[in-house]
Order: sequence, then C-alpha cells, then structure tokens
Amino acid sequence: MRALVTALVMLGSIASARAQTAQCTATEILASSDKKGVDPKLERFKAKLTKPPFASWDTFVQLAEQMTTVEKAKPASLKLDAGAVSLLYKDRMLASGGKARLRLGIDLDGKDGKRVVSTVVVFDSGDHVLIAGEPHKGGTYILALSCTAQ
Amino acid sequence: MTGDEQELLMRYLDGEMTREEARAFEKRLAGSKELETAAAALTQVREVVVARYERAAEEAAPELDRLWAKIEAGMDAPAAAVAPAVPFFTRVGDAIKAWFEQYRGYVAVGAVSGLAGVLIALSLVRVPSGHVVYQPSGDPEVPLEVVGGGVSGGGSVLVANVSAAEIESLEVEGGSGTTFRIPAEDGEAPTTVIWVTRDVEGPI
Repeated sequence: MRALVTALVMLGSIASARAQTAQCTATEILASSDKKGVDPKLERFKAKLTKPPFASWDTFVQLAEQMTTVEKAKPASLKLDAGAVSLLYKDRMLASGGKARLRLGIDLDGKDGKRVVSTVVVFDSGDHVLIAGEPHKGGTYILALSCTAQ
Repeated sequence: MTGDEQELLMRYLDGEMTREEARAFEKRLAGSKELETAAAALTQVREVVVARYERAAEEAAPELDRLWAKIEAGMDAPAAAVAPAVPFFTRVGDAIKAWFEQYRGYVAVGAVSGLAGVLIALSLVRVPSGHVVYQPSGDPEVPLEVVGGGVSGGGSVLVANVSAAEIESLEVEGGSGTTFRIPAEDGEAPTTVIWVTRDVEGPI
C-alpha cells in the first residue's frame, strides 16, 4: 500500500512539473522578391505565406529554427539571426476541446540590443504567432513562434 | 532596404512629400524591386486599417443621422414648448439661450462629432467574432481580418474568437503594430500576425 501511495505521489509530481513547462519553437524567415519560391523547410507555413500581406513576396527562406523548453515564470532567451527573443511562459489555461491555451510574454530585440516589440499573447498549444515587417538582410523579417504545453 | 528608404517610403505613402520629392521617389521606386514590394505590402496593411475605419464610420452613420434629426427637431421646436424659466435664473437663462441661439450650429456639430468619435473608438476596440473587414485579393475565399491596428507605445486589442490567438498587450518601440488574422485552414486555428512598422530607421 505504501509503495502504491509513493508511486501515485511521484506520478503526480511528474505531471505537475510537466504542466509547468512548454516546448517553444522560433522559426526565422526572410521574405524577398527573388522569385525562388518557398523554402521546402517552410512547407508547413506555405498556406500562410501565400496569403496577404505575405503574398507581396515570392521568396521565403528559413534563416534558422530553434527550440527551447520554457519554464513557467522563468524567462528564456534565444539568440536569433536578427537579434534575440525572450519568452516568458506566464500561464496555462484549458481551452475548448481540452486543448491547452498558453499565455506567453514575447520580447523581440534587434541586433543592437534595443527592444523592437514587447507583447503578451494568449494562444492554443501548437498554434503559431507571426511577428513581421522589419527590414532585414535586404528582405523582410518574419518570426514564427509556436509553443506546445507539456 | 535601408532605414532611410523606409522613412522615405512612409513619407511617400503618407503624402508628406512635395510634388518634386514624390516624383524623385517614384523614379527610385520603379528602379527597386525590393522597395516596390515593400510599398505594396505597406499599402495592403494601410488598406486593411482604412477599411476598418471606414466600416466603423459606416456602422455609426445611421445612429448619427438619428441623433442629428433629434437635435434639429429640438432646435426647430416653437418657443412656447420650452418650459418657463425660474424667475431667479431668468436673466442667466436668457443669456444662455441667446448664446445657444448664436452658436447652436457649433454645439450640435461638436456633440455629433464627439459621439462619432466615441462610436468609432468603441467599434475599433471591440471587433465582433468572425468579422471579416477586408479581402485584399478580391477573392472571398481568402479574407484577411484585422483585429486591431495602430497600436503604439502600449495598448491592447480584444479578440472575440476564443480559438484564435489573443494579443493582450502590444508595444512597438518607435513605431506601431497592426494585428491581422490569416484565416484557418484544415481545422487549424486562424494565425495571428503582428505587423511591425517602425518610424525609426535601421534593419532589425
């Protein structure tokens, strides 16, 4: 009996710890008009990138993609091709259909270290939020962020 | 595109250039594919925001018409319909009445403009769920929805659709941010896009 209780407590602790983290992916994209189409690595974004306002460009190249595990209330930083992004996992809610909904603070800094964007976004686990519009390397910079609650 | 070019582009699109400056910039625009593309994208973003404002104004128009009619009816009412003033305030009342008679046009326009401002502001902050305001491609299958715009130096956008991302706060240093939604595909949630337009120059 004692062994069973211990096992249940341990399982509970593990589940609780998992609920406090999220796996985030930052995908950096450069949009330009070089007539080269969409980078095969960006296949999953193709439908979005061929719609306005992105339809103004015909070339989308993946600059980099990074993954990080963020812990609740602990800021995590990623160095980007265009600067850096800080993620702060603030909250986890339960959305319709049992899907997790995350509240995430995003601070995007330029290469010079100056803050470009500071935002708090609430989105479903696994969904993408895109931050775009800044000139970068002769094109336009797009940062696609996605987090999955664990 | 350099920061200088971006600033020139903003000035050009804002109509802040002199005729000579605009002509010179148009030549530059024609010679740069990148600049031309940026101009097209910025124009699209502006059209979305303008469409939203126009829609808000259209929605407010019937209410403003009703209010205007009410004000006009009140102004045209015979003097006998006005309740007699309390003797103590008779002179003050007369003075106010005389002032109003002289400036009633301005007062009415001021009241209507104020109400219009409030209605537009309310309409911009609370966007109804699934409210498509713009179809840039002309194709009804690919609508683009704006959920908030012109947020600069802090501000919030309320989004009604629960499954789509909500922007709780948005601050763009030295510029502004416009929030769009790209419609959902194959059971996915719509994708929220934060479009950054900075007033200051320089690549990120």
